[in-house]
Order: sequence, then C-alpha cells, then structure tokens
Amino acid sequence: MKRFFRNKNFTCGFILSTLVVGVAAASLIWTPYDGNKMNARDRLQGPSWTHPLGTDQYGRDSLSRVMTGAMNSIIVGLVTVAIGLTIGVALGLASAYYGRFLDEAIMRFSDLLFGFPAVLTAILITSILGPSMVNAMLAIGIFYIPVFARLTRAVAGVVWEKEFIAAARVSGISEWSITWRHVVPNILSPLIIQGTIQFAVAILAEAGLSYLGLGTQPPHASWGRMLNEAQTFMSASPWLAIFPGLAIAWAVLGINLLGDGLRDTLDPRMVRIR
Amino acid sequence: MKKALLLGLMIVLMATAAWAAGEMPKKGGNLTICVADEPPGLDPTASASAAIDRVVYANIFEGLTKIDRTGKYVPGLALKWDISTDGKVVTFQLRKGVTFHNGEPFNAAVAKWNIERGAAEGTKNAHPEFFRIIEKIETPDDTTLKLTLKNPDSLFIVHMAEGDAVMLPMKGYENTAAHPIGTGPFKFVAWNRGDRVEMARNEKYWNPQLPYLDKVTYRFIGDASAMASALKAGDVDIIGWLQAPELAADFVKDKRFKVLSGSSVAENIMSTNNKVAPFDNKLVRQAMAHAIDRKAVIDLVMAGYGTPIGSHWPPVTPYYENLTGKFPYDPQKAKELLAKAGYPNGFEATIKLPAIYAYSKRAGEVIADMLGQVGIKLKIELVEWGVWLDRVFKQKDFQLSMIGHAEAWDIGIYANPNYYFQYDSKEFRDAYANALKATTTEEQSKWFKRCQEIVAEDAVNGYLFVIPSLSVMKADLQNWWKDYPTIVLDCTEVWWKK
Repeated sequence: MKRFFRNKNFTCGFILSTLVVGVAAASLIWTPYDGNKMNARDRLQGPSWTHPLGTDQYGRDSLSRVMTGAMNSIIVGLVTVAIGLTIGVALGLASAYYGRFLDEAIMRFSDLLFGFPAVLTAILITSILGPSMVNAMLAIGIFYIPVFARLTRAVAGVVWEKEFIAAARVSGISEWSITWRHVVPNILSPLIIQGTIQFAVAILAEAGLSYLGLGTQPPHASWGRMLNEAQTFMSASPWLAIFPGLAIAWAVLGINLLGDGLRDTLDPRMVRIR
Repeated sequence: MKKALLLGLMIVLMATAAWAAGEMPKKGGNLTICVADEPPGLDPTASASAAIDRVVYANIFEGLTKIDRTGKYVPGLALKWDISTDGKVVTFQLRKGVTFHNGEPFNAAVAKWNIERGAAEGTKNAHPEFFRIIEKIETPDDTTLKLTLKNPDSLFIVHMAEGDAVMLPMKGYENTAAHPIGTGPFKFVAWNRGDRVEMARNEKYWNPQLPYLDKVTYRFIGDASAMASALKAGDVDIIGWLQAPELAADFVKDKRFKVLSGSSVAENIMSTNNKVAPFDNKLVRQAMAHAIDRKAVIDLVMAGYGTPIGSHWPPVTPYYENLTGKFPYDPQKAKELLAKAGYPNGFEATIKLPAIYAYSKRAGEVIADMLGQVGIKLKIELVEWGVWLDRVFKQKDFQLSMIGHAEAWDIGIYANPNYYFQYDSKEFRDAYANALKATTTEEQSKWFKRCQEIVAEDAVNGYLFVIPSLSVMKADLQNWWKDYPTIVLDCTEVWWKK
C-alpha cells in the first residue's frame, strides 16, 4: 500500500475520491434536511449557516441535494463500469482464447460500437427507452463493453503466450481453470486502471444526460439536473450552478487522478488506452 | 401667505400632471421584439399555432372585430355591428377606404369571400366552426355585411376577433404563409428563416395617426437566458413574453429597463382524467383542490408573478368570477375528504409533464410535493411534446398532467365529453348552451358565470394560476400592452420617448 501513496497523483486522487464516497455514504443515513422537501419561505437563499450551500427555487437545501447527488453519481459509475466489465471481459477473454472467426466477429462488433459517438447514441437510446436513470446507465454501460473487450483481448492474448501458461497446460489443468487462476489475475491491473477512468467518464456522461433531461428524473437529485435547473437563475443566484458544477469537477478530477496514480504504480509501461 | 404658497404649489402640481398626461406620442424609431418560438408559417388562417398570431395578428392582419388591451371587443375593419333581438342576424358596417398592402380594396365582397373560405369543405382553418355557424351572407352594398346565423352565438363577435378570422386579399392571398398581405398598420418586408421577421410602417393605413414606429423586427431566440442577455446587450428592445419569470428580478432593479407584469388568458391547470379511478370521484378531486396552496405554487413556480384562479376563466376576460376561495388551502380537510372517498391512506398516481414547458415541469414538481403531504404520492414522468400530444391529448392515456390552456374564451372545451380530460356533465352542457344562446349582456354574464361555478364545484381540473404576461423592455418604450387578453403582441400604438 505504501508504494501507492508515494505517488502524488494517487494520494491527491485518493483524498478527493474518498471525500466523495464518504459524502455519498453519509447521505444514506443523514443529510442536513430532506433534499426533496420544498419550502416556499426559504426559496433562493444564498449560502448561510443554516443552508451552507444555499437553497434552490423550491426552497430545497442545496447541500442535501449535492450529497444525494453524490450517491447518485457513484451508483451510475459503479453500475456502468460493472456492465462494461462483466460483458466486455467475457467477450475479450473469448476473443483471445478462441481467436479466428469469433475474434473477428467480436472485434468488428467493437469497431461498430466505437464508430458511434458515445454520448449522442446514449441520447438516442434514452429517448427511445424513455428518460430514466436506469436507461441512462444502460446506454452508457453499453458503450463500455467494447472498451473492456478490446483491452482484455490485447492483454489476455499476451498472457496466453507466456511460459507459465504452457507449464500449467502441461501439468494438466483445464483451460477454464487456467483462465480463472492464471489469466484473469494477470490482466487485473490494466482493467482496474481502465475501470477508474471509465468511472469518471460515466459520472460526466450521466451529468450530461441529466442536464438534457434524459437521465435522473425529478424530484431526485442529480448534479446534472441541478445544473440544468440552475440555468435561468444563474445571474441572480449563482450558487445554484456553482456547487453542483464544483461537485462534478471534484469527483471527476479525483477519480481521474486516482486512475493515473494506479497506472503509474501498477504498470508503468502500460500505454494509456482511452 | 401660507394659503398663497399652497395655491402656488397646487398650480405647479396640476401643471406637472397636465404636462405628464398630455405627453404626445412621437412618430419614428425602430423596434426589435424578441420572442421564443418561430412561427411555422405566417398565415393565421391556416394553422392553430399561437406563434403565428404573436407575430402577424394586429400588426399585419386585422379582422372585422378586435380585442383591445383591456379585453374589450372593439371595432376592427368593421366600424360597428348590430345584432338582431333574436341574436341571429349580425350586421357589420365596414370601414370605408381600407386597402390591402398590395393596393387591393377591402369591401363587403372581400369579407364574404374570406368567410366562405373559412367555412369551405377542406379548409385549412383551425376553427371552421367559427364560420360554419353562418347560414346566409348578404352584401347589400360595399360597406354592409349582413350575416344570418343558424342559431344565436354570443361568442360570434369574439370569434371574429381571433387570428383565424383575419381578412386576406382575394388576389394576393395564395402566398400568405411566406409573404403575408393584410390591411394592418405594418407591411411585411422579409422573413429570414431561423432568425427574424421584418415589417415596415404601412403609409396608407386607414388610421393616419398610426402606427408610430417606422420598422418592427421580430427576432426568434429560444432560450430564456439568451433572450435576457440579448436585451442587456441592446440587440433587442423588448422581450415580448418572458417565460422564465425568475429572470425578471434582474431587470426590475435595473433603471435602464422596465418590467410589465399583467395577466394573459393562459390558464395553467393540473389536467385530471375524469374517467379513470380514483379521479372519477368528485371527492378525490375536491380533496386535491384543498391540498394545493396556490400562493405557494405561484411563488415557487413563477417567482411570484401570476394570478391565482379558481376556475377555467382568466380575470382579463369579461364575466370573470373570482372562485379562488371555493376550496381554500386546507390539508386537514383534504385528508378528511380523501378518507370519505375511501382512501384514508391516500394512493399512488402518475403525473405526465410535457418537458418543453418549464412552468409545467416546475408546477408538476411542486404539486407532487403538496399532494404528497396529504398522502397522494405522485410519480413524475416527463414526456416529449409529441408524445404528450399523442398519449395524453389524443389517446387520453394519463391520470394527471399539467398544461397551460392558451386560448381565450375556451370554457366550451368542458362541454365536449371527448376532450382529453373527459369531463361529462349535462348540467355544464346546458349552462354553456344557455350562455351561447343568450342575447343580452346580463343573460350572458349569468350563464358564463354559472359555467365557471360548475367546473369549479366539480373540481374538474386543478385550477392553479394564469400565466403572467411578463414583458421586459427598455425604459423609453411607451404604451406596450400590460395584459395580453388574447394571443397577440400588438405594436400599433407603441412609441419611443427619446
């Protein structure tokens, strides 16, 4: 663990992301106010001791909403990366192992998905399936499949050529066991690195979709939605846009730095894949 | 001495008042108006789009009658009209010497042609029923138009003032959607699609005093914040209808601008499907009415602008009756009524909100919160406008929704049981029929008020507020309409003070 913290990027990223996760976890048990509770008398108040981040046009406490928004973002990041990882890694492993026709098919399919502009297609998908947080996560997750499939295929292909795999084969272990016991552990670190990067991208993408009204639906809080709602209040009540904007920047920066730090420490030679 | 001083002061005061009152409008100057929606065409007789009327009505086109800034019906191209005692014969005296912008004269024959065109089979007019009620058209001379109606219709004069009933020239009408030719105070100059419509003063307007402005330009800017920046930067002179009232606060403080806040005829209502359970139960609807705090709704949704209503009738329209006290905000009473209706623990429902209208989205969120407090848990579903028109308006596949009803005198929609909120009441239909049949003002007033009372008592929909006619302009601009008693942005009497 010590060698991670010798890396400045990792340390910064770790602190920033831990704060986000901490705030999100805290929001499950406690927020200063009920973030969905409206209150006509307290509308559009600037930051103060009673409402540290001010209140919005419905008199809802912004701090509580930023906190629940953090949970929302983390769920989106986790679920989308999980979709990409499970399906993508399975496809990538199959591709690396079987080669030939299957490999061609999976890789061309990946090319096809890569060919679409991700966010635009996510907009298309959510407008067909109907705007909701689940559909937004699905739309983003689908585009993570080729990312992980490509990466897995590349690194797993190298591992399969290694001598210890040949040794394992000779000792009579089944191909399944080799995959699980030898191949997967050896490709974990690039996958973790890629996972953190995609996590940050997912938070941005969800904020973008919610900003367009295609992601999280009212009255639930999402950073992107908060930005959208703040739009016409910008000149009179700038705090409504500043804090969710800062939260997005904070979380994305933190997780990106964490990813960079992990890469530098785990695999200094790895070329960054985006 | 003191008395003399007082007298002197009074003289000075009176002189000032006289000077202020006698300030004469000046001719000249250009005006750039900013509106959100670009019209799909410029022919108000071929589409129901309100965006068309906001540009061309009263500026380029005029009808026989006209609505003035106070909501009264006044002469337009007809100088006066007489209605026979049985209400069936309407005789218009037309204005003399009126010509279209292309030089064609306007007379009784042209008016007859326009009416026949609106009533014709296959007409593109959005309201052919306005004209189909006419049985016989006679033109004894060039300035007399005698119309015999199939049955009396107290709203006939009202309908003749709508954009659907403007007068087009018999020869130059074909290209109206792209190049409108009317009799109005301004002539069409150019339409730069996606950007602006330009018009210039009609030198041959029948009222030589009007208009005051040389040139009027409509610019189309969809985003409310961009509109506000355009006004601040001086690119436009006025925002004709500010749809994000929260932006007004900035201009109220700024001496270079002024904000006019009046009432429009667009009732924002929580439309309720009267045919689906539990909303087919009158007690449930009345409970919801008690659970809504209109004052708070207006504060939260419209930044405090907007007039509360208790029925489907805007205060700027004649015969208005204030029914906002019928179901005062009383959550306890709401819970009692719900229990009486058989829902002591409330129930769950879905509210479908059209995503393009900020006011309806916001009002939906606020209402969901208020109803939640009496146990009615609302799930919010944002839908695209096309989907809303299809699912909610056409297929009536909804429980609750939220929308502004922009047309004036539209309480007649409650007489149609197939209208999307599916209200079916014989009592209302009879009252409405009586109102249409009424030939005297007293009778009309009595029955139109009765109509308002019936829909309020039945709590057919959630009556929230009338959308404010908010306009923000440079401080020197004079005589802009404060209220919008119809769908119009009339520039005829507007002038610059500098």
